[in-house]
Order: sequence, then structure tokens, then C-alpha cells
Amino acid sequence: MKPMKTNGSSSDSIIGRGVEVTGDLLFAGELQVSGKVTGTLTSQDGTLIIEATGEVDAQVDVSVCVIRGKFRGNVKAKSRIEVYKSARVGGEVATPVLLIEEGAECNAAIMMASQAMAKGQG
Amino acid sequence: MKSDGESIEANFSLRQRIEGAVGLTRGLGRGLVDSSNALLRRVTKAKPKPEVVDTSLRIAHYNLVLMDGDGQVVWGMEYDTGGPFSFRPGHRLWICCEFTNRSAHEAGIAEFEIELTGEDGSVLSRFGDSFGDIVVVQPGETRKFVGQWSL
Repeated sequence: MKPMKTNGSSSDSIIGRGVEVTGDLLFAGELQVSGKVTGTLTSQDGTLIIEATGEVDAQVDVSVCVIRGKFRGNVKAKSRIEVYKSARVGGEVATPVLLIEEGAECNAAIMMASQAMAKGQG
Repeated sequence: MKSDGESIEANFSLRQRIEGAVGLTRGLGRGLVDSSNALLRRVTKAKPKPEVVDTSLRIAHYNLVLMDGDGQVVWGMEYDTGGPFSFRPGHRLWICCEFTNRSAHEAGIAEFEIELTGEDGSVLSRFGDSFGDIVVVQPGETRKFVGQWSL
């Protein structure tokens, strides 16, 4: 299936409540998910926000991932992941910066991975 | 001259009037007390609430600082968090940094610090740890350093 692209601008994109999307999504800027997404979600420097009503079952590769809803799958965030108390997370999580709020349900394998290979001493 | 009956009636009427006046005075008094209590309650309620101290941090970057056995900084690196975010009470935060020795010489590290910095570059919090002994990082070798915070 050909990947679906959101527009290249940094404006927000929204998958609203009641909307279900299956497939490969490439996005720029910010993508808010209040509906259901199954497949892959990719963004070079973008932010994925899974809202409290959102359900994502996907392979995710983004810069920042904020989870307030349900997530299952693998999420790789090169900058950070935030998991809030309404979140239910399962699968694998890889990031250099992980923020978890008290009350969040996180049943995931967590891999703390550095942002970038640091350059050595002079 | 008034008869006994007239006198009793007049006394009764006077007593009624006095009791009425006393009752009215009592009522007014009660009203005043109620009003002052209400005013007091209002004044008490109007007292300014104790100031809530905002302990949240707005984090924009973090730094890894490596030190040798003498406490001298041997290496440092700044990382971006991908945009500022709030670190509030009830949150736990883990940060992982990596150092790869790309030089031709081994590097000796005795302690490390990870600093959380704000949008203006000021250091908001530090996590530090020492190894007790010097950890030698060979050329080409990578070491991970993890810091954790809770508010």
C-alpha cells in the first residue's frame, strides 16, 4: 500500500474521534490521534500525540511521542516519550528521555537508548 | 380614680408593651449578631489563600558531563529534548546519554552528571553519580549513563 502523507507544513494533523485508519502514515509537525490507527506511523522530526480516546496499534518511529490513550506495538522516539496517567501502554518503547506520570499503566519493555552516538574526545 | 379592674388591665397592657419592646430589642440584637457573624465569615473567606508554589520544571535540553578522578571535566555534550516539556510533581523522568570514545586514547571517567536545562539555558536540576573507581573507556567503546528524577 502506498504510504499516506499529511501535508509537509508544520501545522497539526488530527485523526478525530470515531475515525479509524489502517495503513502507513508519514507526517510532519504534529499528529493528534483521538480515533484508531493501525499500521505504521513515521515522522522524521514530528510529534505524535495519542489522546485519551485514541487507540494506536502500530510501529511508531517519531521524534516525540506523547501517550494519553491506548498504545500497543513498538514506539521509537529519538527525542522523548511522555506517558500520562490515562495511558495504557504495551509492547516496546525505545527512547533517550522517558517521562511517566503516576498512575500510567505501562506494561512495555523499555529500552533507554541515547539520542545520538556522541562524538569522542578531541 | 381607676378601679382595680382598670388598673390590672393597664398594667397588663404596659407589660405587653414592655415585653414587645424587649422582644424587638432582642430580635434586633440577634440580627446584629447574625450580620456581624456573616460579615466575619465573609472576611474570613476573603482571606487570601496560601500561595501555591509551582515546583514544575520546563525542560528544553540536557547535558552530559563526564569528569576524571580529579573532578575535572573531560567531556561534555548538550542534547535537545525535541522541544520544551513540563516536568511536574507526580512525574518520573529517566534520561539516557551515551559516550563513545572516538579518540585513539583510552578515557578515564570517575563520575558523571546529567543536567536538566531550561529554555534560557539555565541548569534546573542535576543528577550525578560516581563509580568509586575510574572507569576506563577504550577507543571505540561506548558507555551509557542514565539519570532519573522524580518530583
